[in-house]
Amino acid sequence: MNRSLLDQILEPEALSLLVQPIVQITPTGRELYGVECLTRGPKATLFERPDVLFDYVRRKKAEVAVDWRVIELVLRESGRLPQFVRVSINVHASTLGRDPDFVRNLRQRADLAQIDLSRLTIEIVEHAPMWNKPQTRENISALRAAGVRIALDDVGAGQSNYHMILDSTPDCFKVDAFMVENLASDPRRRAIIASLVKLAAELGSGLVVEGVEEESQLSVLQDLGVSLVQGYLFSRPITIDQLLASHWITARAESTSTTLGDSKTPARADCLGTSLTSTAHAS
Amino acid sequence: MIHRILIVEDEQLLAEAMKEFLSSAGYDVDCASEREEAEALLAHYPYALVITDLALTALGLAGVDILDSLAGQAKRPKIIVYSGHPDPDLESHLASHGVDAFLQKPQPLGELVRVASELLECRA
Repeated sequence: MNRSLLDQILEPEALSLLVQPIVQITPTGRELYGVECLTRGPKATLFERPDVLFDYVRRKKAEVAVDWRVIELVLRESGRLPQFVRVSINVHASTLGRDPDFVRNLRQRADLAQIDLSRLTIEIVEHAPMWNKPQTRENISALRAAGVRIALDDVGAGQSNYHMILDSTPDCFKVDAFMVENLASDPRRRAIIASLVKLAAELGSGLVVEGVEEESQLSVLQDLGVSLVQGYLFSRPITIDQLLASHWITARAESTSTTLGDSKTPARADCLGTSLTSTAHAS
Repeated sequence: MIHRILIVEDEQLLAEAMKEFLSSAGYDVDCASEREEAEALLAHYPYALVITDLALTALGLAGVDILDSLAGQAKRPKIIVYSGHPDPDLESHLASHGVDAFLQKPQPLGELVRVASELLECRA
């Protein structure tokens, strides 16, 4: 009997991983803040593209199974990254809504991979209205209690609306790339981002803007008080080997070795309510 | 311009034979063996023609679902149904779903290529 495409996708080596740096803009330059892990489907197939892959997965209602494959891959690969690199994983809201053992299973797998949960951010992605809100909220609370941060992906697009903000109470907003298209010449987008910055601050959340491709966009974002950004201006999605060989790691490793543990250096608040010199997390 | 064709067929050997014939005729051909796979491909790649079995054996009348999802598209591809479904009223039923051609199985693959080429010439 032929194997279905889903069977192929769920095979251990079928999915692969790229990472894209999340960059912190500081007065002295640009530093690696963390990475978002990005999944690619079976190589040399029409489903290597993530938009096609996850469109299929959602049509098959197989988000839970595939999300777990992705999580296992991310945890395995994250072991190769320095401890200071925060790791973001995309998980469907429907997975959090369907899987009552999500947090227990995540903890088990993270322990096996020797990854501290406090290094992880779950980026909630969704392309359908959230259902089973009690289960989703329960999982989000348990994740936060375990030290995992919660980010809401694609804010400003699709289902990542005010309902989702209230339901998921994210530690961080990931603002969709659509919001920064032609940002330098579009006062409407500027107004929307300014309102999101204010909203995030009032809710005690941080904010990362995705899809930054030009210095002119970055300049506007800095004027609006955005300091965490992601996009081709800084790096395309790359393999972990490429990241390890890049200046993002080498420069940050040198910087960390001279600042961490230095009591004269003030703890720098990050977008997720933690600090670079503390693992305490405000839940 | 090379037209892109999607074959929706769950019999792998038949799908491969159809792909070989159509590729030899100069078309860019992809295959899907189930409804969700076909729908995801149709949502992201620009197909000029869909050739679909009507009754994907493992999945019921999934071919009809695909036809329904295509019917709502503003610029939908041409559609050929290539099926062994024994129903005398089938052709008129399919016409109401916007099907451009119906071929009863078994049919020489050369005939499939001929009908596909005719439809794609009309489209061009």
